[in-house]
Amino acid sequence: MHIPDNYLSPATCGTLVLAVAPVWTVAVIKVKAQIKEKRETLPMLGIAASLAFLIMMFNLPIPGGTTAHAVGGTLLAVLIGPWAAVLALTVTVLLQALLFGDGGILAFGANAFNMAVIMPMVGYACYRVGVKFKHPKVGLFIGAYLGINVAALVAGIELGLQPLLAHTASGAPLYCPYGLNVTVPAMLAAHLLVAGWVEAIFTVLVYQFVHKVAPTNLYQVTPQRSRRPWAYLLGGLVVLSPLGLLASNTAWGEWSPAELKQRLAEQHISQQAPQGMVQGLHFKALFQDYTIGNLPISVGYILSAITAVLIFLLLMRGLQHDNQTTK
Amino acid sequence: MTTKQPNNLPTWLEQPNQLTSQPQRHNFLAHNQQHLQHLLARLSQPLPAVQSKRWQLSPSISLLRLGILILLIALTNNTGWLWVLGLLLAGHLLQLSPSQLRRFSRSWLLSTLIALLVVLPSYWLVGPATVLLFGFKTGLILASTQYYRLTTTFQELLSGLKTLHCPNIFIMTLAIAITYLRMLGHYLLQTMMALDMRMVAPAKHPYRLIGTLFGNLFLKSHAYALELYAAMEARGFNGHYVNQPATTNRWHDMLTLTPYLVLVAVFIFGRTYGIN
Repeated sequence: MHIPDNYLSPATCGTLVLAVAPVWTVAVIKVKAQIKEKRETLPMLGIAASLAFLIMMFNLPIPGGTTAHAVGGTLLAVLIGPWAAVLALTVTVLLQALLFGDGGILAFGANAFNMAVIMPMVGYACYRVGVKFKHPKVGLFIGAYLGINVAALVAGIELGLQPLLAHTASGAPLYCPYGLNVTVPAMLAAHLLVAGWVEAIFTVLVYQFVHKVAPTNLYQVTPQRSRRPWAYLLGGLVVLSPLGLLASNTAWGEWSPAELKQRLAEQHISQQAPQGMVQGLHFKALFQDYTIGNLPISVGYILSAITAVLIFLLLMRGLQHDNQTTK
Repeated sequence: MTTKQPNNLPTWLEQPNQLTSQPQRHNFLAHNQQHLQHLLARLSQPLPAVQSKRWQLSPSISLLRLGILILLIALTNNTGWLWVLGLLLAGHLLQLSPSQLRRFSRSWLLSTLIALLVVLPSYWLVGPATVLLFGFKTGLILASTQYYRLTTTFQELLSGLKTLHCPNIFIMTLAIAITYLRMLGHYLLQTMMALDMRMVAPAKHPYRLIGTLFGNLFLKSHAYALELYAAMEARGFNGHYVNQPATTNRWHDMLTLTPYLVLVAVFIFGRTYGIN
């Protein structure tokens, strides 16, 4: 999954570094807070980076006589915490690129995005869901499998977009020459069939051992003291929901049959809307296009957002376990 | 008269006795031992970095130079430009000693070959021109990276990152990782050897050993991290990475960087005059 230099255009590499930079910043802030509570986190970061390096070096036998290696992104997130895992895996990827030529230097941002951000975060999120439903091992297994596959999918998309993003006037690709039709299946087939299972089994086995021998050494989530930031965030998003009304045109692909017919005629493609669309199902929702009675559309947007937030909060509340015992 | 006793041990005692084990169906431990031994050998005996005594570069300039060179190679699609950049790189390679140059050539050829194998099927998709350009560019990028690896020590890399305002926590993680990679690797190797020796029959499934191996390694690391932090605090650790004072000549640095800056300027403004 290590993308070498020259497979991604410099613009893609730059964009991905910019995409990862805020994650690194948050990770540094979160880890600094973690260090204040658990001081050994600081040396543990470096040691975890070496551990990730060794995990990636260790080949496991797979059916068919060949071998594959795990990455350990989800495992590290569970052992030292997701933000610390982001930093440790970033350092591992940098070390591999600079000292061992595994992965590119310009492509460092892309590799860090795939392996140090997506993999531990997806894996850890699934693990937390598993913990919530009292099945941490199932969550971890699914998380490790999904984490590596989502990372592989993103790597496949990054590579496959290159012929579209960077090509000569004659259409010859300047960087990775394979399109999405080649890169995505190639990356996913290898990871869905082999690497994903290796990663998942490896992660669960090591977790099982640590959980059995020294459960206190696993990363413990500090309980959130306040939910106020989330309330502010949701409130802000609710207030900002009518922002899309500033755009006068309909979003791409959301046209009504009549609007589509007009567009097709303007572009000299067809004089009629596709038959399937005209004769298809036309469901009339209760609050069609977020309009509620005779209220202004912006108010309708805000009320719809509040309704959706409340429905999801009620659903989550219903699925939670009770903390208090009833007499 | 006493006969003079030989000081040396008999030859058969001096030679290490290699234990040969029967090849097993799941001999993955042996394969991984070999990989680890190879890594440990590389880490314990790093190649001496080639440095000119009269013309020493500051670590940040050398890192900057690498970045500029790779960026220029990646950005250009003009073969003439690539040729000029290749010449610049070849000039730097002349500083290597013959043995270093041979080592460089071996690893560079191998890595370029692997990169080309991946891109070769595109010959049938897009034709030979792209494959040739791609191969040339990849080869140059790999050469510049390997030249940097040969000429820069790890401490210099850390100093370079610090000078370029990389966060302390990141530099410290990197420093600890490279220092303890060898130690953890050695511990893993010893554990694998112990497991291999204790096994009288092949394991039912090799995966059963993985949890024990890496679980132990993590617990060992955790215990070590606690000791390490205590030692760091005892030595007056305050959370800041100390930047080493500059020992290089600032003029030399600027002079070395000048050709690269000129190339960047020509690359940016050359389009107007049809140079690039």
